[in-house]
Amino acid sequence: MVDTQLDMRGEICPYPLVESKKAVEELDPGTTIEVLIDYPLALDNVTRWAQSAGHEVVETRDLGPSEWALVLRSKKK
Amino acid sequence: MGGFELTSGLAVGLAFGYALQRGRFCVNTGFRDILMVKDSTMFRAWALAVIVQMAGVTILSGLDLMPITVPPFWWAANISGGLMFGVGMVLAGGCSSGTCYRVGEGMAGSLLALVGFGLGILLADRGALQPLQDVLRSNVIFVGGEQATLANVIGINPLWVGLGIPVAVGFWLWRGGAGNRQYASGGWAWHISGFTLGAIGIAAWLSSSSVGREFGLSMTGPIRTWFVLALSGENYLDWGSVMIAGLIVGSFVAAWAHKELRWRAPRGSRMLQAGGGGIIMGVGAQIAGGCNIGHSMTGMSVLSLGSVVTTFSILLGAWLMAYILFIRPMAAQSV
Repeated sequence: MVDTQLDMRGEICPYPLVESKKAVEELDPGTTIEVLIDYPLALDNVTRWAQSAGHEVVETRDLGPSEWALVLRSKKK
Repeated sequence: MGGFELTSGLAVGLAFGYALQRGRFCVNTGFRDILMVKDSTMFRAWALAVIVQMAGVTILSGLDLMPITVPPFWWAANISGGLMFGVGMVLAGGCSSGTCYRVGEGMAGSLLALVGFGLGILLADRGALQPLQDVLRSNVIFVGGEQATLANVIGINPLWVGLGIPVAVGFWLWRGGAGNRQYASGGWAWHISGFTLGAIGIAAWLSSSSVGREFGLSMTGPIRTWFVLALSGENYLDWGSVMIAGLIVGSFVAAWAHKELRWRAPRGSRMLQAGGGGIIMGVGAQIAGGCNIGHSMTGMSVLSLGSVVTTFSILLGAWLMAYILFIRPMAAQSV
């Protein structure tokens, strides 16, 4: 069960990354967000950013052709 | 157009599109993300593609196996066109090659950006902005009667520069390591896509030169031929035109084979931004005489000073727009 959701389907570069970053940084520490992405490069760079920023990548769920649900947990302060 | 020109252009285009899609290769992302999120993964893919092609072209032309053409150093056009292209690609959400391969994947925003790109090219090539292009291109700097290159400006053998840069940049890439080779979306790691695109760049030079077009991969000229044909009926189609068509089909095949083909569209305002960004990109690329492929990969491989200056200008333009559009708003938010 995720705490919040962000729908970035249809968005082109770099909006999925910018909006995901903004949303994760606004989360309470240790809570989760599910980001819906349908652009492969965005899935890669949002995942890479989250890992480098110290947030946890909980799971990447395949939802169908070029569509994923990326679940992130914000880092504990 | 002869049968060999058609098939060789198509073959290179298909491979190019396939590799762009599997590598998710986008110079816009590469240039923007080193500033925006301090992520150099895509930048490294671009750098590797450049040095592989540079080394290959230097050796082939050094052995007189292939004639080359060096893009001119019309500095005012290179700087202003490059800056415009950089600004436009951030707005459009992709460089010219990134935009084309995403059309093959089914992204509506990129399709609109491509239409804008074509119209922008025509605007500067034969429309209202043609006088501006002519003025900016009027001052061409030659070195010793030849087009300016990194080698003849310094006055040394091009072999030293054309092999020295790849060795130095290659060492920098090698020291950084490959990093995480497993990407979340299952695409190629940066070093695979960089090497493959560099090799395709060399194949493009060989294939294109063999039919009398003494240049490698490019986007601006070939895209212009399709728009000229569509809007005025004049047929200038050549190796490059077929290559571009192959690129889009190659990307379509790659996306289809990997179950990534899907029609996707952003909301209306973003579509307008993509189209507007495409127009700015097109005007900039036409004025500069090339874009992130013609200058920043192919022109760099023949050490063209104009291509180096255009590439730095694209980088600056992209950073400027990324700062205005994303970095400054994000910083204001976190205060």
